[in-house]
Amino acid sequence: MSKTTVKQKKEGLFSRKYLRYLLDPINDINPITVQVLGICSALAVTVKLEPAVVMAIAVTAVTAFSNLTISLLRNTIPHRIRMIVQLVVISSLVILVDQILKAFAYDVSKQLSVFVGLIITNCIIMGRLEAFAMGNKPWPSLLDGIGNGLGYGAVLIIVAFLRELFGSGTVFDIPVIPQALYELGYVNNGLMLLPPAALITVGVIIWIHRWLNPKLIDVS
Amino acid sequence: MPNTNSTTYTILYSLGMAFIVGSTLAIVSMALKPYQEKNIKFEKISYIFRTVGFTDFNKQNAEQVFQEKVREFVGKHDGTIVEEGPWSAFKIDVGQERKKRPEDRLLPVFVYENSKYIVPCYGVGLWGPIWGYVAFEDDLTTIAGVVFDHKSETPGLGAKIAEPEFQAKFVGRKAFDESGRYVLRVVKAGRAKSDNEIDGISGATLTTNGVDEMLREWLPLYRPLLEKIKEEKIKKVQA
Amino acid sequence: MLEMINIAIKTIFIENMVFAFFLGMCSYLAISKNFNAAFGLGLAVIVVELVTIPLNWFLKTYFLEPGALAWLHPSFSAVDLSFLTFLVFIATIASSVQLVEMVVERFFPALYTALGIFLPLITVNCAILGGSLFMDERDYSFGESVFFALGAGIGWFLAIVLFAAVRQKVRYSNVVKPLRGLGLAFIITALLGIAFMGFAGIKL
Repeated sequence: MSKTTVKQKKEGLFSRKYLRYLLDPINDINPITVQVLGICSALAVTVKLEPAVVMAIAVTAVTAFSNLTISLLRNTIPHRIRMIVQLVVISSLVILVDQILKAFAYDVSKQLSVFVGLIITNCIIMGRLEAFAMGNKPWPSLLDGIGNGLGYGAVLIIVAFLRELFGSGTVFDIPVIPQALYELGYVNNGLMLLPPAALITVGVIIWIHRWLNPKLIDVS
Repeated sequence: MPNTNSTTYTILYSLGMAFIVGSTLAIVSMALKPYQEKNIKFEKISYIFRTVGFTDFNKQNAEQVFQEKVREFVGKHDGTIVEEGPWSAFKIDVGQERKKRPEDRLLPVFVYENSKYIVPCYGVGLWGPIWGYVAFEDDLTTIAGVVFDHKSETPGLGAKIAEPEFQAKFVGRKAFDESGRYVLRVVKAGRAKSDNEIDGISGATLTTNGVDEMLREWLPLYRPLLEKIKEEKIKKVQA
Repeated sequence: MLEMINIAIKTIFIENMVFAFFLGMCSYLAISKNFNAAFGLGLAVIVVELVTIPLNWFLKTYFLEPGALAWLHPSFSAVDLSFLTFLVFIATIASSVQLVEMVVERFFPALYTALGIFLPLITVNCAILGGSLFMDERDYSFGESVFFALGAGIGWFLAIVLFAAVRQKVRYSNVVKPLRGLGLAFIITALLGIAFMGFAGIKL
């Protein structure tokens, strides 16, 4: 009898379908520029590249592991306390991240200050748990988490790169604008360091992103 | 599979979750605490050594080198010494002391190699707290070096108080005149005229004012205590 | 007293939750398409800030800070539960939002119809958790934290109402296609933020 059953084709861990979970959030359904999620913590840490990179890694770790945990638990969670369970998982992961940063990357943790804690209310994480992890197996959930974290991180790093380059004339704190240019009268653009510049930069990135990818254009 | 909607299940589930999460976090936090405390200690030691330009230490030996080079005293604004010895001044948080009236504050003093006197101070900038350490030469008047830092001043503007370029302007200035009156001023950028006026940061007048007010609030408070420490503790060692 | 009012003014205008710290941007962008909805959400944020920040102040002072448990028994004075801060704050916020929702529904049905749908959204509004975290980080006293909560709420309300009003006008303008909607929303917020930076000169 067993001979007649068609052997179910096992999908490879990185089949095309799975790769899409990972790659779609980076472009077509980017959490920041398309889904408008997780902007709060995105903008405040983009004055310099270093905190932005750390923030991107931290958020990716939290989305990936919270997606994984919730997906593993998805059939056991009592419906009534679903949100609380999700919040507890997210905040525990964020506490771990915070404690680790304080122990091993003290300078960066000081720069990020309250924004590490605010990862908890980063809507990307809650959003992915509800929309994806509650209804999918652990492996796709993990990939989806990493993908969304990276999509978020990519925007963060682009914004931080531009702000640091034009605002301070450095990249990762290394001066890149030649001294000769300053002698010719070039000055760093102080506006890039102030909060509104982050918004303008993101606005322009969205503009370019939609111009290159017209299917994303807002119909409203 | 038990019924996930029953009340008993929900309660047991929450209790189990609270227990697992609570114990995991407690264990991690306890395991990482020594590293975190070491970071905070190292940062403070670095501030103090930077005011006198001493750089020959690293994360491993910082605490030991600090104890070899620095003597600590705690006193009051009228010059009475209330405590001395390893980590006595170090554990005092001037941010907390600032909430008290000036005459009630405990004032920490660090003496580097029996010749330079380093005092901490704490104030507010434009966005949040700013703090610093000022090192005096043996005459208790001339500034040997300063270090400032801040929580959230505007990067590229007010945040420049934490950069060596601004801090170097203080070296060699006299904070007090002959009669012991406090005369140092940090003024709006480009307005410094005399030797005891220091140019602030252009575009960051409010942070500059914060530094001026912080120094004006703290440095005169330390003066009698520094004289006393020099008189009673340091001269004896040197003699 | 004057100092406390200063904290409120400072939080409304100079350190506005939206324009200086980008807190609560998600709901700020999503709800501001409709002026009335923005108004309702803004009011709800004021109420929730005023409930959660003082409540979290109590929890922080009597349970979480190093040595905070000393009032239970002197031997607990070495206990430091501050690593639980995030968890406790968000739990307080989630449960008080539910409580506020029930109270409003029971006693102010008219208000409930106006605010009701926004209340659940507020749990994940970073402006709320951000308010509590700033209260913790800046070490406010109880009175200060109440005025800070008031300022944070009003500041957020002001930001979303202003923005919604501008957005309603923009709907009739001819904007380049890729910039329509979200892209322009960011740039409008930036311009409002620049206008608010003018308040930084207020001497308090």
